[in-house]
Amino acid sequence: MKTKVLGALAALALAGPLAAQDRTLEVWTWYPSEAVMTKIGDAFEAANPGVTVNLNLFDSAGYQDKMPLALSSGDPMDVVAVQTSTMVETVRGDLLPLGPLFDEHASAPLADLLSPSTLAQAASLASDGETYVAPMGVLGSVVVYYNADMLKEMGIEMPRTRAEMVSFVAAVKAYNPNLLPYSFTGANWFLDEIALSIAEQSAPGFFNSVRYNKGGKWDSSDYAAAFDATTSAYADGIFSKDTLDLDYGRAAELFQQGKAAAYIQGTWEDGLLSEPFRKANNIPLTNVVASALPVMVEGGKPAIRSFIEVAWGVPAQAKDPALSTQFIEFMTSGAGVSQWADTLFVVPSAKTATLPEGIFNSDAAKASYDEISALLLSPTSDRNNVSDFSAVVGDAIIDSIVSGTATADQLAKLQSEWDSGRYSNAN
Amino acid sequence: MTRRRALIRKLGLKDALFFFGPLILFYSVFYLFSTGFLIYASLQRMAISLRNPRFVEFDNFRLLLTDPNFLTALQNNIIFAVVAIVAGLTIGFFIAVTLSAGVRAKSLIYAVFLLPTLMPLALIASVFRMLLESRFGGVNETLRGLGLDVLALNWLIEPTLAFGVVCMLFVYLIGLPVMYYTANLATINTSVLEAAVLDGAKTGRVMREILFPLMKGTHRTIVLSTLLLSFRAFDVVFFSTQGGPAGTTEIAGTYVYRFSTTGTNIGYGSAAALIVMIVALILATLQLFWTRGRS
Repeated sequence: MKTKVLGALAALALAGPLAAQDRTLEVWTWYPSEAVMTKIGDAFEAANPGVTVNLNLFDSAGYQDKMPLALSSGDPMDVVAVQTSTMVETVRGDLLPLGPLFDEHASAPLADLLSPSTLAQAASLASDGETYVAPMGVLGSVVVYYNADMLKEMGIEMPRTRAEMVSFVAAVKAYNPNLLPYSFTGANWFLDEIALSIAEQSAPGFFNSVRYNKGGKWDSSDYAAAFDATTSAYADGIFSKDTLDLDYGRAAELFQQGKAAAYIQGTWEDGLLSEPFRKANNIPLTNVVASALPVMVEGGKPAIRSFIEVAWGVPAQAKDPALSTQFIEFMTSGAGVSQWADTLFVVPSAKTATLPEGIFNSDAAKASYDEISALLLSPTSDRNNVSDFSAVVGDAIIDSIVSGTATADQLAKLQSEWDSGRYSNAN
Repeated sequence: MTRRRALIRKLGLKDALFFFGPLILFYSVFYLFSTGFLIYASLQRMAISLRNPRFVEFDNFRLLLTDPNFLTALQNNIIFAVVAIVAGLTIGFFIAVTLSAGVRAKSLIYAVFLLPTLMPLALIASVFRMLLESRFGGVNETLRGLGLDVLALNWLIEPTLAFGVVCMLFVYLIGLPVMYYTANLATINTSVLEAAVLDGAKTGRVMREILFPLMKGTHRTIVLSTLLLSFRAFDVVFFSTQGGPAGTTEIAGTYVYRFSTTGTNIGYGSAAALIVMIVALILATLQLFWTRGRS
């Protein structure tokens, strides 16, 4: 692994007889972290003598701006990570279809390497149905993380239903009235995530039917039940109004510091279940377990909306598409997976991925991870969010919680906003 | 006087170009290009990659002006600006005059009022947010500790309270007006004040009828700068309430942010930004005419 400058020098040194064979791989991404990406780059270089990996790393927001512009202006790029739900359609004109590349240059066709649900989602992202990106893994929402030590002291199990949540909250209050039973951010986008998870419990596939215009409506009875279940959880004291002014970081902090018994977020927080991850990030919790959101409507089943995240593509300007393809295989289903999978940010989409030993310090934590992963790999709907609209839905939920606006009025408004053409669903 | 005139006459078109040319070039690149791009983008439906823009005429503007949230955001902008201006012209003026009257620890008090203006707004707003958190925030913890549980309110959750908190934040940023007034006070001819005092005018009357009218120019500067600052006060709102609860404290800046950061509909965000710019320009022009007419 060399820095950008050294890489350029190496390229210069090789110029001349080997000029046609530039074995420098320009990799653009925002994830994983620099430390992890450096390890992966080193491992790839070791496996491919003569290849130099040049990393171009950005933060998530900066990547969203810079990568598409660099791509369309033809900057030297050999492999690019793509933010799945927002980027694929806008950049696909500059990417090569992956199917033929894998057939020719990889150890096996894509379909043999990655699990089918993740490939189906990857193909659905481009309006021409081609597969331009190979996803590293899947993430979804929402799940509940519990402080297992507290559960043990209270002598109570993880709640699985709304009724059990009520008893859990009562038990927490009896145990220590200063604790927040459920800590989570009451930001608008997250309340939308919660309500949609509830909708999926009783009407699996609801979000897809709205998102992909297959007859789903925001003002349907399916969604009304979920909306009511969310606001009534506040009215009945399962969720505290105090969550409404917590931002993402604060909600996480309260759980990590032991000021909350449970924490609701997406599966990208699965690192909480891993002992090495907690140590590396100075999280002072010793035992964490998790489950999907308890069933909050009559007759429902636990459900998670999930979607592929961090997908890799080969730019049209790649110098050596064969090498780029090999890097993507390495990253998504080859030896590279073991370098990043232990962060638990995503559940790998590789068919053969196994986690390294020593991640979970209890069978309960391992079982939690397996339960969540199984739901992630067979989602009821895609977590292919329309983030600008998500804020509108969340605002309606907040408004109903604090001002008691009737659900029917809110839903009629949501449906007309959805149809207005103002949000990115209209693209 | 004659010398100065001669000097000015020497500066011909060439000299003017020499001095102003680079500046004009700089401004045209950054202002004209960005405004031009904003106008172009506002008429398109396009993503941040700027590929395949679709010309949609005035659709973005039609959608914006029919969105009650956007109109609320604009209205909030104006309300917050008015709050900031009124606070500057009254409290700011009062503080500056009091400080100039030779209070003890003058510099310290001056620093207390000026410091918030010099610190990053994002930091101040974040600190307010943390202090006002309903469950574990410093304000409510203290109130509960004193047995005043009734007063430990949901500051950032109840819409009316949250609106009040943002107003308070704008009042808190009063340092700039204080500074302007202090600077102006130092240039006032004290003999006018002495004469008034000798004639038996009390402090209140001196402030109201002599000092306040004397600083007409400063009022104008404060009104204009506060007005324009309020339109750019994205960080104040974003880091305190994020425009919530449920859009109650949304301002144009947070509205534009929401639509621009998703990256899929840059045109809509551009149209919103353009409208805000036009509104701010109109208000500033009106204000200039109004004060010029009066003076």
